[in-house]
Amino acid sequence: MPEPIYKNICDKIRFSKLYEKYAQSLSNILLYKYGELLNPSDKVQEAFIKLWENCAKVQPEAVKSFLYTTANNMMLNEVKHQKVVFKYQQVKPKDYTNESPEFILRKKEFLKRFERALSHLKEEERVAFLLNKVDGKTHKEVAEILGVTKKVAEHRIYAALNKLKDQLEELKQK
Amino acid sequence: MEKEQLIKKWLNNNLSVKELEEFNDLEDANLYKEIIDEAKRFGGDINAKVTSFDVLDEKLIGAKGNSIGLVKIVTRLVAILVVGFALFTLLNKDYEDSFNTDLAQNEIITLPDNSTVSLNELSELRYNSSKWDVSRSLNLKGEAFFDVEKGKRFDVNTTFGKVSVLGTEFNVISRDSIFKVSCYEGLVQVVYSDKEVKLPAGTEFTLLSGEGIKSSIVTSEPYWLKNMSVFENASFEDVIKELEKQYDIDIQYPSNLDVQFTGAFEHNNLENALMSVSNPFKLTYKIDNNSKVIITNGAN
Repeated sequence: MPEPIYKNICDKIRFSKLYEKYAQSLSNILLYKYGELLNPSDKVQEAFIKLWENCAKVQPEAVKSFLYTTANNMMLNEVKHQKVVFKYQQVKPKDYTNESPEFILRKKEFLKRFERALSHLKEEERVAFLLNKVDGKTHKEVAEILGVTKKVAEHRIYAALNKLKDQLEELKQK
Repeated sequence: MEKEQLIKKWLNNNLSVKELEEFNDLEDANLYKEIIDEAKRFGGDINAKVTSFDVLDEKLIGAKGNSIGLVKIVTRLVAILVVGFALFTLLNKDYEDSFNTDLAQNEIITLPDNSTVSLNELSELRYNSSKWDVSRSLNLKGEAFFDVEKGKRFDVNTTFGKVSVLGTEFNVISRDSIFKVSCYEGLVQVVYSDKEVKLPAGTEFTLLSGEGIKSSIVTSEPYWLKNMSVFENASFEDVIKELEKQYDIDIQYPSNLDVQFTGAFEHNNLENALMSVSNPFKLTYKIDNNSKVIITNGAN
């Protein structure tokens, strides 16, 4: 492992760089895992505040896992009693102005079902699928993040897609 | 190619042109595409957007470092102490009672131990009621009659001296240049300029130009308590002054009068009072409506 350039992260500029680098992707993972009811972005903030408080103790190379573990534990503390809920971003009217009312209605229904289907996916499948397809992480990156082999990641993504398809088949466009 | 393999490859964006055609021919191809497209709506960049670092930064200042935390704790402690102290002193504040009388006004004050003080006009009495149990001590300016319950030492502090008693009735005047203590019952001790005088019942003490004179009194209590002013061989000037004070009036009188007045005037009837003062010297008086009285020689 290469020697880190600096000894610790107790420096506002370094710290802000870390924030820019990890905050959003951490927030995404938390969202994919636990849904949005538990305010993933708040947990990310709290995790970063914890990191700042412990900045002298946390080695720079351990920052990422520290953040992930901290935020994940905060989530787990709350998650027990909560159902995973997803919400699709409200359809912007602009997106479909040329479409027929039937199309808009179908789309609405489609997204509603999608939402439900996503919530019912196995957590590991959902996380892998969304990291890959939404965040654009490669299979290899997804595998790294989740600590599994590339093959497993690939399979989870595929399994997720298939389950989603089964749930949404009725609404298939003719 | 097997369907699963095809889809997996598609998911990994690994399809060759030929394979892509094959995929597009799949019955569910459009649905797959739609699922992937619409999945973007559930993305964390939209649904779990983190705040900018600046927002976090503000929170970090509060969390940063133990030294700041310590300062905060210390300031909080200090604040609590200050507030506590302020409350403590406020609640334990000595309540000083003070009474003032105006012209021609008497007031009877009952002290915490049921001793009574009759405060004559233009007088001021101050004492600390919360410490009354510890020391019966009060400050007097002017004139007052005391009827003291038996108990600890009872001190009356005046600018001229201190009057101490055990349980008694006495009158104190400490006004302008007059200092006079009259004892009607019990024993009173007067301390003035390092000297000490004991007054048994029926005696009074007057301080005149630094010299104390002891004399006997006949009345059982001072006349002003009965709304009278009593004089014995007083100069006419003193009598007029007292009249002016009691009735809050201006009196013009012949300045060449050299007479001594022994007698009294009452406080609630100006006509009677003027008569009592002027008749013995064969003087006449005239009351102007704007609280002015002119006393002239009986000649006219």
